[in-house]
Amino acid sequence: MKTITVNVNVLNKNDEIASLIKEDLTKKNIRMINLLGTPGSGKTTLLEAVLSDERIDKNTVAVIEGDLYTDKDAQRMQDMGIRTIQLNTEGACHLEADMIQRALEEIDLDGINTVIIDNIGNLVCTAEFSLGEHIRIGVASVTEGNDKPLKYPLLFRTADMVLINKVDLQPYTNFDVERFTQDIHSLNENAEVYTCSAYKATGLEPVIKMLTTV
Amino acid sequence: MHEGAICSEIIDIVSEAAKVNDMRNVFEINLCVGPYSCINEEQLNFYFDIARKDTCMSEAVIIMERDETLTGASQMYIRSFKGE
Repeated sequence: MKTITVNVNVLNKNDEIASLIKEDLTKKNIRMINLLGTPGSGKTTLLEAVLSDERIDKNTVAVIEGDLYTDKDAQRMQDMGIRTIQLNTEGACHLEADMIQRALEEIDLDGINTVIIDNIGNLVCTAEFSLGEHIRIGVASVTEGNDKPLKYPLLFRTADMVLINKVDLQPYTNFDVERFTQDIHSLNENAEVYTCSAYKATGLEPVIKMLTTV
Repeated sequence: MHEGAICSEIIDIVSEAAKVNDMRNVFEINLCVGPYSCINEEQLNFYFDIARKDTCMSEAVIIMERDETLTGASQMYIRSFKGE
């Protein structure tokens, strides 16, 4: 019996592809945003609201939609005139960097300065996989309850920005924005946290500002 | 739920390293994961039991340890493996 020491990160292959993607996009002056959150947190509605803003040039944004099944979300984006590609994992709970690499080969990136990944709705697995993004945005909603950052810490630990969506419904819930924010900052003191309502198109300025700042 | 993907990567990495080191049978794989790595040991072993068939790991077990110093995402390492 002999012991072989390897010390290899299990996700090395994924991380290497993610690094290549990031490097390639950076060279092309394209930034990629990874949008993560639970199913129903309002990621796609948020995208619709933000990309409808008149300050956003729709011709400069491409969207990669990740879902287990259907092209419903891609259809929503395409209806707005956004260059979109739908990835269906047919059961897998997360996207991996090689899927994004293939998707980026398929999208016409001419004139694009921002690629947004509308990730699969999942608070756990999606956060584990780097996809080559420059910015990671977590989307939570007031109807999900206050306990999510501490119960599902990885997403909140790794997010650059967290949007607390559906704030228009807050009066009908016991959601505590201050507590939720404190819990996020106990995991990740650098995370920017904002409240918004994608449905009412309010509180979207931080994302619009990000997209209009090259 | 992503333990299937993790398991597949473990098998690829160990298969390659065993081949390089001329090891035909692997009996034990030491996996170290951080506290925020969302890996469920029971699910990982469930997938491994299926995936290890017809590989050099057909008799192997995964010994999973938590390492509190590994924080952040993607923090899971194959430290070593044993075999002959």
